[in-house]
Amino acid sequence: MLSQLQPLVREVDGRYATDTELMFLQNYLQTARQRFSAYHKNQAAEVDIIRLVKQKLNATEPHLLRRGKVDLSAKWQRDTIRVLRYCAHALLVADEESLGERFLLWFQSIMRSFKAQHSCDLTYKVMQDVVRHYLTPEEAELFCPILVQARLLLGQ
Amino acid sequence: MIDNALQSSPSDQPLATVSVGDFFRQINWHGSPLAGADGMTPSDIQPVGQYFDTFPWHGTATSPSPDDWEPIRDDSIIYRQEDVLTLEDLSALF
Amino acid sequence: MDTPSVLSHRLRQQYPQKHNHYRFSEFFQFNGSEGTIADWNGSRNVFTSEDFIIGLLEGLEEEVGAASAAVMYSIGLEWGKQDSLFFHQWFEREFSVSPQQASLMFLLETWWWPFTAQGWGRWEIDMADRKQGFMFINLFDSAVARTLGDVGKPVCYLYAGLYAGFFTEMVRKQLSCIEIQCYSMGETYCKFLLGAKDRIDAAAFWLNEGATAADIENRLRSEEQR
Repeated sequence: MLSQLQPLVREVDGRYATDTELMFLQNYLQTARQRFSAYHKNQAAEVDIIRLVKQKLNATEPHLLRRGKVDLSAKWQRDTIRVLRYCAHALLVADEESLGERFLLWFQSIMRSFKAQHSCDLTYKVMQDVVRHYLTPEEAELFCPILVQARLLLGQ
Repeated sequence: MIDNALQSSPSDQPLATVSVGDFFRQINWHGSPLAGADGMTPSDIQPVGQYFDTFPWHGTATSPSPDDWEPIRDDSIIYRQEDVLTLEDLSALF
Repeated sequence: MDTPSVLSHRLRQQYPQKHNHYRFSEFFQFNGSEGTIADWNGSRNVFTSEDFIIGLLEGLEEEVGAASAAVMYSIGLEWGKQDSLFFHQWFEREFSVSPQQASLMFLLETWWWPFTAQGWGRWEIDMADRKQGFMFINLFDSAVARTLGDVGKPVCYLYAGLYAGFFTEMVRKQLSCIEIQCYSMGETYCKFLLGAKDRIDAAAFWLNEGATAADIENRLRSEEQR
């Protein structure tokens, strides 16, 4: 949503915006309450969300976060927190479209360089289930598609 | 140019085509009581101030301390694993 | 004359640890008062259109005919060499670690991101055959090829030179590079072979004989098995 404000400013240039041009603000305000609420819940529950996701990953694929003798959990945790926060931001400002351009495309190349695609694919699949414990169905409906996007791009 | 064409009352129209003026009247932007708004009971409409009050806006006791939210340090991402190639490895192959 | 302010990047000065900085609005710094554009790493940039690429290529062809391919390759070679030095400096500044100590794939992806931000295209490195002493680079949206369109011959000599120059400096061994598949020949992406000179000369020969990229890949792989 916020990204639409800038072109609007350019578009109107000294006149008042039409109702059609302001429609995106209406749309944003209609979901703003859920967005703020979900954002805050993610922030408050972040530690638990990460812990639960890690637990489920270990249960499903115990060797996922190990490469030979090397324990990759710390790195996994840093990367996952980063993605979670970027996704939460996209949720807050209703800007799912530029999440790819802003972050995911670059991070995808980093994940590929460390051969972490499978790990990402599983992580963001599991995360969608975990966040539903903390969010209302409406909030999850807003947030999970963003996690789907993350899973798609990073899991490839 | 102000779009003067949209004059009809809010309750007649699906939300998608409500004029901006009407929309903000519906959420009672200025917080004044509405007198018999068409088809809408006062309990459906919240003044915006009240609306934002429902958000944890001012950072209550439950909000995490700054330490918890330290930006993630990026120097971790160049992390080298045992089996990961380096420039030297590549050089040796040519 | 370039003064320090001409090449300064405000956003980078504010957020030096923001490694994710390749979107257009962040990577480039427009210094209106000097009329300059600097990128995140402090290099001066110039924005051009396809006309520049066409002008360069056609102008060269007019001057030196068929030798224009070799000239473009040489330009790329020098560019790659210079850029490797520049890259060494900014990589170390950004990550506080030398290129030699970093994960190779991470290093290479980081090298190429500014090129992507600048419009040179996205790439993919194929190191599957590195133990045989060669590797492939796939390039998507080559600026040169998509400018020229389908002209029935490979055109990305500038890129081939760039890769040869850069990798030669990075691995400290004399490497060459040749384009074995090109968008300008109707393919969906461009493919480059990188390796020691004799390898590349052989591939050039096969290419001349009409071999396809797949033929070349197969021949290189089967050669090692002998």
